[in-house]
Amino acid sequence: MSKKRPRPRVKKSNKRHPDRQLVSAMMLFYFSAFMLISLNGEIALEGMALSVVVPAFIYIATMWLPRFFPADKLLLAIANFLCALGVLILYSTDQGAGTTRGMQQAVYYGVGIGVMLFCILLVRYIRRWKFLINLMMVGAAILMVLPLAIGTEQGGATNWINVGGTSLQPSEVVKLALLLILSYYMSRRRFTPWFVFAVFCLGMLMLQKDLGTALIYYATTLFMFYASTGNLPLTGLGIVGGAGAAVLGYQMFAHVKKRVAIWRNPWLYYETSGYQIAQMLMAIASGGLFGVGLGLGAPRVIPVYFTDCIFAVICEQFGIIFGMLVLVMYVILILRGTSIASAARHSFHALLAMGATAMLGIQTFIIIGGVLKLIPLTGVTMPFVSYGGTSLVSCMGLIGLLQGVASVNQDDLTYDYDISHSQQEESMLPEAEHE
Amino acid sequence: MPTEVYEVVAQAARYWFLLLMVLIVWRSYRWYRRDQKQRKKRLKLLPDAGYVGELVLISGEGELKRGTILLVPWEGTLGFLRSNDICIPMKGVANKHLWFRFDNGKGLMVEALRGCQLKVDNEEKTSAKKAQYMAHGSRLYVGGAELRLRLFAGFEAPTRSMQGQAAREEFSDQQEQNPQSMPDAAAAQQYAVMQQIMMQQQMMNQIAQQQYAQQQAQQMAYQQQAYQQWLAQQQAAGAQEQSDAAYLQDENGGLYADAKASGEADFSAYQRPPSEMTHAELVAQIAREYDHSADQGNIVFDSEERFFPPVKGDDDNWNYAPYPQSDVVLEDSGYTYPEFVEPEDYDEDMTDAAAPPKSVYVGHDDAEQAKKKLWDKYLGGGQKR
Amino acid sequence: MKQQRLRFRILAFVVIGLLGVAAVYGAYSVTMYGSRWFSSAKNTRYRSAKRAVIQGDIVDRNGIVLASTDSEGKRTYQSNLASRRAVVHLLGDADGNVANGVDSFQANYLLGFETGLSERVSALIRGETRRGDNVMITADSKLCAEIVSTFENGEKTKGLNGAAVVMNYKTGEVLALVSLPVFDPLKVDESVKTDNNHPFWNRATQSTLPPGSTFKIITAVSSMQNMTDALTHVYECTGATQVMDHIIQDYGKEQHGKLTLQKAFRVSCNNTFAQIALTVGDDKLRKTAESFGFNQNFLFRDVVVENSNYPTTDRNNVEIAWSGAGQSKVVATPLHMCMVAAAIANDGVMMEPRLLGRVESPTKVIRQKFTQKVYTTACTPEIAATMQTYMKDVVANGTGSSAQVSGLTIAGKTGSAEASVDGKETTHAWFVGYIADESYPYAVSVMVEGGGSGGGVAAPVAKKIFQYLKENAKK
Repeated sequence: MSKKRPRPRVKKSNKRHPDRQLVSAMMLFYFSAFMLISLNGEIALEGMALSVVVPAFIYIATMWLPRFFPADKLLLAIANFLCALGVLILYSTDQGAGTTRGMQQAVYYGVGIGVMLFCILLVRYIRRWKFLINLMMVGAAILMVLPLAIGTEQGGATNWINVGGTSLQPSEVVKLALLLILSYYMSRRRFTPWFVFAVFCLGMLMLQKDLGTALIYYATTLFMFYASTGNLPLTGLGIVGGAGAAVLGYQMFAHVKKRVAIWRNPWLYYETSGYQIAQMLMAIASGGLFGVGLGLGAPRVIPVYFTDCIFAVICEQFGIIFGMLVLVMYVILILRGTSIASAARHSFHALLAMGATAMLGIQTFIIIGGVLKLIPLTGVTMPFVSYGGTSLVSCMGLIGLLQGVASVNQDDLTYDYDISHSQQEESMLPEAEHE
Repeated sequence: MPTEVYEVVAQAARYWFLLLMVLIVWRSYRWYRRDQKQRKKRLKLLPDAGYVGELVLISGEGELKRGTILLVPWEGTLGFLRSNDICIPMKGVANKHLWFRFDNGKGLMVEALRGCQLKVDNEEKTSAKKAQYMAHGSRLYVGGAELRLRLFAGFEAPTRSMQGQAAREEFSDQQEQNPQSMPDAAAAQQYAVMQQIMMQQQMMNQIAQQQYAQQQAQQMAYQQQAYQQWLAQQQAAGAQEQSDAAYLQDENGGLYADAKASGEADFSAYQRPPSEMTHAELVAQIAREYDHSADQGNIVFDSEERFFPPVKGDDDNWNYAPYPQSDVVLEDSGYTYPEFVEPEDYDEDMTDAAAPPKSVYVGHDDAEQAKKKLWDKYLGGGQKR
Repeated sequence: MKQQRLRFRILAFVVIGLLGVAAVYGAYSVTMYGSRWFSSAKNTRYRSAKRAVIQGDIVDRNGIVLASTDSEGKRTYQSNLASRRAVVHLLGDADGNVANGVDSFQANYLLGFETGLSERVSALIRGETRRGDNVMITADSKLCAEIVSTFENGEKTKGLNGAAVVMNYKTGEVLALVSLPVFDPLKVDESVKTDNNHPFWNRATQSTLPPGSTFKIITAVSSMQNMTDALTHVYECTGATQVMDHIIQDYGKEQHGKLTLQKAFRVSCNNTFAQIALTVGDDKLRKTAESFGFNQNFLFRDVVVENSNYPTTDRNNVEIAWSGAGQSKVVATPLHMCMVAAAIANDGVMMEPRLLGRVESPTKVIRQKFTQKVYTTACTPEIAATMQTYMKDVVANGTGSSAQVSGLTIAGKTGSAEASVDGKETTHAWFVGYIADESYPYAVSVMVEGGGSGGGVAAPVAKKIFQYLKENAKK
């Protein structure tokens, strides 16, 4: 028949595929980082394996997962990046210490993805929330009381329980329930139920002496209250009340006094309680602008370097510029969450999204402020990056809630297309995102 | 790797990591901005996205004129100030008067805020925190203003506003499937109305069928009549023509050959043979055949359609003959479409431009243009976005 | 919903703003304090760095090697015991017992943290252990040894603790920073660690004491700034001034009669300066003090100094009156008082004390040269000129006569600061002064804990210092 005429090749350009660009950069980053670490001292095959597995996971989670589940790619990308950063740091500090925190964190990450998917589907498909909300209130109340009953103490706070070998922090799980309950009742303009629940949770947390989490709960409730009612006098009252409670706590609790004292001048209390902050500061200072280099420096000197102070370790190894860039990633997360919240049609979804975003932002601020000695160091962890199963899982759950709201928004928009527009107009719309 | 070498490599690598991080952050931010722009563009192209309906101002004193249309979103507040989703700067309307939310299946829920009074339809004026539901056509009385709600098509809302117990309870699946179990009188009434409509439609179907049957019978009667007239003509013309007519009547006649010889075809064989049924019976038979009472919904009757039952051949095979009731089999019965013929002198190296047109229906230039458009839209281009 | 969306925006801004504040604060504190945190002797990163890098040498301004690392990686000091002991607070010891010595504060140079990548690579290729940079400090070890020997051998200062600081008031170079008691860095044993005199403290930079009458320099400047007839006003000293329910007396209960400011300065009359303080007012006096560096957060690049304090709360007239005389709760470090004298000498411009002379890499690349920096302008040149006259007067005719050196014009101010240490009343002897000669632009501050009279105890030490400078100083 006829000879085949040469067709002009269409370049598979990345210009219209921002997700591919970002993911490829991330994959390269982690590949090179893990390869580097594995060359430290003896060649670690585990590290080399991770240098392939981690980028693969990022690719799968960001590019393939959205094909099967309704997910927001940008949120996924950033969350995966931060989780992988945590695994990287933990793995690099594992070298020579014999701990396996990096691998454990990877396992928790898998669980986290599952929880995230669960939350996405939960928000997307459930339209009648009443029963679930009631169930959650009861369940959360029980969970909050459990540590007081059968809990073990860790780091001065009694908010852990031991379940079958792993320790679990119920307050992290209750965080998600709190968001749902708050947004449900606030969107229906009913004050009493959520107020009672919030006060109950705060009381339990105070009893467990977990002041950092109490601060997060309180600040999130306040933010959501302001968002839903816009009642400035009451919000101001809330802020004043919170400050008053803080002062009261200072007077009443000895360990609060201690925390404030070492915040002011850690060098005075160097031998005892100020050691942590002093070491953190020294670590950040030795990092300088560009860091001392991955695998170098002395991160393990800082006590509890793997949960609370992991930001100091990042600043030491990668530099403070890098630390600031990590902050910018969190900021992008917050921006995205706010835009999802603004696009929501129903008040419930909007408040849920905004609450999740605010919670993430507040937690990040508290921990970074503590590490940089802006505010006293509390016991909260850095979202996604810190080691800790429950914290990672609950942060993934938060992201899942956000993505659930995003998918509901997308559904609503498509519903609008269907019922109000003809095919012709639809063809005029900008092409939907590539695959 | 010895420590000193590793140190140097790690220290060189920190710039690499920083560079990559800058790239990652930059790309994330750009992606976020691009999504924002796309969203804005989408919303601009769909100016009525997110609205469930309109409120029309019927009466009231204030800045708005009678007949002003206000768009109603899914959820929001209504009041005097511009910061509300529906701004009604009329007398008697509080700064923030009420909040509303559209519940799928129940209508627009309206609840008064503190200290404000509202009235929906014929319910009594209420200021309690009671949810009231508005349907398409409901009137809302706030302050001195009266507004009427018009819901957009496609939203699931009852045609009559539903007050009372049924509105406040959650719908269960059972209720939705067995409408008879709905306790409310209004719902039952609605069901009755729907039944009535269905019955009406069925009656209309039957009437339509009757009409069609009558039409068919009329046409056949007309044909019969014409045939009879023709017969009479032939008889009047003479005996030769009679034998011809008899020949024509014969089923196995060489009608086709005669038609070819005479240069014209006779289509009188299309007519049905005379039947013994009366006109009314004919009508009834046809009506039975075309009984569509099992169909619900719209049926379009096309009176131009003709259905002739096919004729089976001797060997129980269906013959596809060009004319019905004739078992003439044609050979070489394939059609030839002039546009698919390949010319003998097909030159493989001929360019597209010099090649003969591939289709007689579409010109070469038009084809090229269409191809280019397709190409631009899906493969190349996209620059404009 | 529209309003809600607006509130979402606001909340997002609040959260992002909080994070921005944290970021800015982080960047600020790391830039300002980073070197201090890093150089803290408690930083364990040194130990690992010391294993990998040969610590560089510390050399004084005359080329004498003060500290170096031997082939086993141990830190060695000068063989001259006297010299070695004299600079121990300046350099710090190997275990980090002395805070912020040059050895640890400049560790980023000494331990090679500042070497570039290419140098590291070339060292790697050559297969040698890396060497850190060599640091030349501006101090004069012989001067330090002279100061220590003066303290330890002088009859009035024998056995007493104290400090002395010598600065070049034109450039801010620190020539000597000595604190007593001293110890031998090579012999740090239990007796040193448990000594009640705390030999590890660097009294020149870390101890804040009432400056006593040396503060009158600032009070005098304040009166010149705020009183129109400051130079001509006649004060009456009756030996005791009653302020509220307290009586202010002079040292030795002297009565001076009628005085002008110059005479009061010369004889160091407490009553006059108390009156000046009350006349000028606490706020104005504090303002002058702050312009001289009190209540400021000293964040010098090369030296870590405790902040000097002029109290801001709980002020009553008694306190204010005594503040004029440099007592009550006014405290300063010897280094700061040296800076004050240097400011007057330098026509009102206070230079930042600098220790780093030059930093050289092992390959003789000069990494850092000496740079001077103006810390602040303390007062106008006219006022400074007047104060210069007064201070010269003090040494020529007044309480500072023991500091005179033939051939040099010395200016200064003595001080006898009363303080209570461990419940006991004691008097610290102070002398701050400078050489009013272009070729010897040096300012000195001497403090003797429990020494008693400034003119009697501290001034002779200063005289010795001036003599040394006259004989040995090269600019």
